[in-house]
This record gives sequence, structure tokens and C-alpha cells, in this order.
Amino acid sequence: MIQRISLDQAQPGMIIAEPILDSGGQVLILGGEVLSDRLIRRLIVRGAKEIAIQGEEPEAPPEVPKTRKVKRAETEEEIRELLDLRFQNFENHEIMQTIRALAEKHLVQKLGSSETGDAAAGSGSSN
Amino acid sequence: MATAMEDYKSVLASAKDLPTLPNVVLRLHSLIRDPNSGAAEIAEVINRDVALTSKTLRLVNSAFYGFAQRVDSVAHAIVIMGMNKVKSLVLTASVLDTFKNRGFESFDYAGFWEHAIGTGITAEALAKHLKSNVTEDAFVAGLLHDLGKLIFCQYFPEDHAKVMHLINEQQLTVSQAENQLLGFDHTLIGSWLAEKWKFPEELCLSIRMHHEPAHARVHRDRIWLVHAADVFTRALGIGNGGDPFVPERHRQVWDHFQLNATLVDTVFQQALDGMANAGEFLELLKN
Ligand SMILES: [Fe+2]
Ligand SMILES: [Fe+2]
Repeated sequence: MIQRISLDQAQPGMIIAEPILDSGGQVLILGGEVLSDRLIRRLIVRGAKEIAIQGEEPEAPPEVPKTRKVKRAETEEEIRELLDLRFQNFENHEIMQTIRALAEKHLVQKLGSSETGDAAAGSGSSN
Repeated sequence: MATAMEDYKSVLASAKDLPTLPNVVLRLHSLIRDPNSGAAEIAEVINRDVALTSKTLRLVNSAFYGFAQRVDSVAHAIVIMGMNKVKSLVLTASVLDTFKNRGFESFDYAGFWEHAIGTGITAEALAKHLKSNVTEDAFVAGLLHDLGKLIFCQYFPEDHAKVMHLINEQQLTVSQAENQLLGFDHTLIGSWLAEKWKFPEELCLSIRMHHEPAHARVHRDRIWLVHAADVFTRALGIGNGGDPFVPERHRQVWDHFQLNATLVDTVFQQALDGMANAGEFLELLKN
């Protein structure tokens, strides 16, 4: 059975039962994930308030999931968060961290320039 | 898991609606290899397919290339861009056209193609800096590297759904999740289609090997370019690679190309600038 709880009651180890969307309707989490401290923090940052978790009796498997839509970062903080996730397996990996730092630099720059009204044709579609 | 692989093969062998490419593309591969064929002959072959010619010229005249003057014929395009580059644009236009409006509810189609185009742009930019002799082909190799994912989600939707679950639950990359479920991944499926399309071997292999570059024995430069471009495109988050993680770059590739921060910095800039002007590529998927 599914229980709805507010995010401040969430505990690591709970299983997310339903997709979680951000305020813009983008899917943050599809459901089925086990909550971790890190994930809870991420959801708080993204402004999620309430989540559905699985109770004792596990439900039937969730609906056919969609390919995760890519969340487009709208602030520097979101850029860093998405990079954290992208590079989560390479925390102590020198070359990958170099790549990450450069990616961060360029994405922050680009954010600055698109704020001044540049409609980037290539990346402006559904993501 | 030989059985899953055999199932897959037989499903695809009997599929009647697999995407096809126009004959022109096949002719071009062999014409360009033939030292006796000249630009005029190649232009003539392309011109016979009127729709494809106009789509190719749309790309040539797009903001991406930014020519000061309108290029209004294939012959003219060959003069200013070279035969190989025009061939690669014909191929690009025909692939985008073949896949236009083939999106699925369960698949982030626009995101997929952005990732594909981004990888093409990045592969080409990288090739130019490395003064590689495969520069003209690098774009197409990048564009097509994940082709198998499209086929996978269309013909094997249930397995595709399982893979999506694995990615979410176990924080795997697409390739890891597919391997866990099936024992093979989209690189194999994509290379089957590339073979069916009679693509040149180096293109088939760059699709097949992009996640296991260390196993490449031939056409290494091309395969490794695509591998590196895929990693860079993912690092920048261009489009949707199917999972939120950057695949690990292989040390061998990094060392071989003598990649360094300065080079990556430049390539990143070119990738993002290129994407800002790549609207016409995505438009070809719509009309
Ligand atoms: Fe791939
Ligand atoms: Fe990829």
C-alpha cells in the first residue's frame, strides 16, 4: 500500500512509490528508488513537499516508466547538482573531475549568456 | 544469454517496418571510394533524389555552417565543403528524414536526437583538433552511435521498460542495465541496423564499440573519437543519453589522443556553440 508523507518525515531506506515532479512538471524521480540522505536532500532542494512511499505490502510493479526527461538546469546550483549526479561515480577520479570542472565552467557561462535573451535553438526543445 | 540475442535477431529479421535509407546513400559510399568518380558524377547521383537534395541543402545553408552566400546546388556545396563533407551531410539528412516522426510515447525522442547531434558535433570538433584524417566522417559516426536505442525502444518496449527500472533502481548506465538484463546492449542492436544499411565497416564498428573502446582492434581512431565525444556530450548534459550518468572515459583513449584540459576546454566551447546553431538538424526530424 502507498502512504503519502511530507518530505520532512522521509527516512533513508523508504521506497518511493510514485513519480515525483518538480514545480514545472518535470519528472525528478520515477518511483521505485530507495530513499537515501542524498536523495532526500536533493528533493528538498528541488522544492518537493510530499512524497508517496511504499508501505509494508509491496505494490504491484509500477507502470511502464518513461525515459527520464532531462531536467534543464536553470540556476548555478542546479547545474552543480546535476553534475554531482552525473559524476557521482568519479568523486576521486582526477581526469573525470577535470572534465567536470570544465563542464561546470562552460555551463555556468552559458547560463549567464542565455539569461541575456539568447534563444539557443539546439537545446531549446522538450528538455 | 544467447537466447535473448537470438530472439532479438529474429524479431528484427522479420520486422517489416525497419527504417530504410534511400538508394542514393548506398551508391554514395561506393562512389566516393572509387578514385575514378568525380565531383560532377557524385553531384548528379545526389540530384536524382530531389527531396534528399533539398534537405541536404537546408543543412548546408543552416546557421550551423554560416556561409555568407546561399548555396543552391550540390555541385556548389561540393566546391566549398568537399566531397566527403557533402556525403556526410547527405547521409545525415537521410537518417534524420528516415526517423522523422518515429518518436514514441515512452521515449524522449527530442532528447535522444540532441544527444546524437551533440555527439556528432563534438566528435567532429575533436577530430579537427587532433588533425585526424577521419574528420568528415566523425560527425556521422557520432550522430549514429546510439542508433540501437531507438530500435530497442520501438521493437522491445517491455525490455526497454525493464531497463529504465534498472537504471533508476540501481543507478546504472543504459549500457550496464541492458547488459545486466540481456547480456548485450544497444551497441549490438545499432550495429545490426548499420550492417543492414550496408554502412562501411568503420561506421558499423564505431557504433558497435563505443562503450568498449579498449577492445577495438581496427578503426581505433574513429571508435575512440566517438567514445570520447559521447563522454564529453554527457558531461555537458547535451540532450538525453538515457540515464543521468557520465560513462567512464577509458584511460587508453585519453592517453592516445593526449587529451588535456586546454583541449577539452576548447571542444566544450565548440560543442555548445554548435548546439546553439543546430536547430535545422532537429527541424529535419519534423518535416
Ligand atoms: Fe551508447
Ligand atoms: Fe551515447
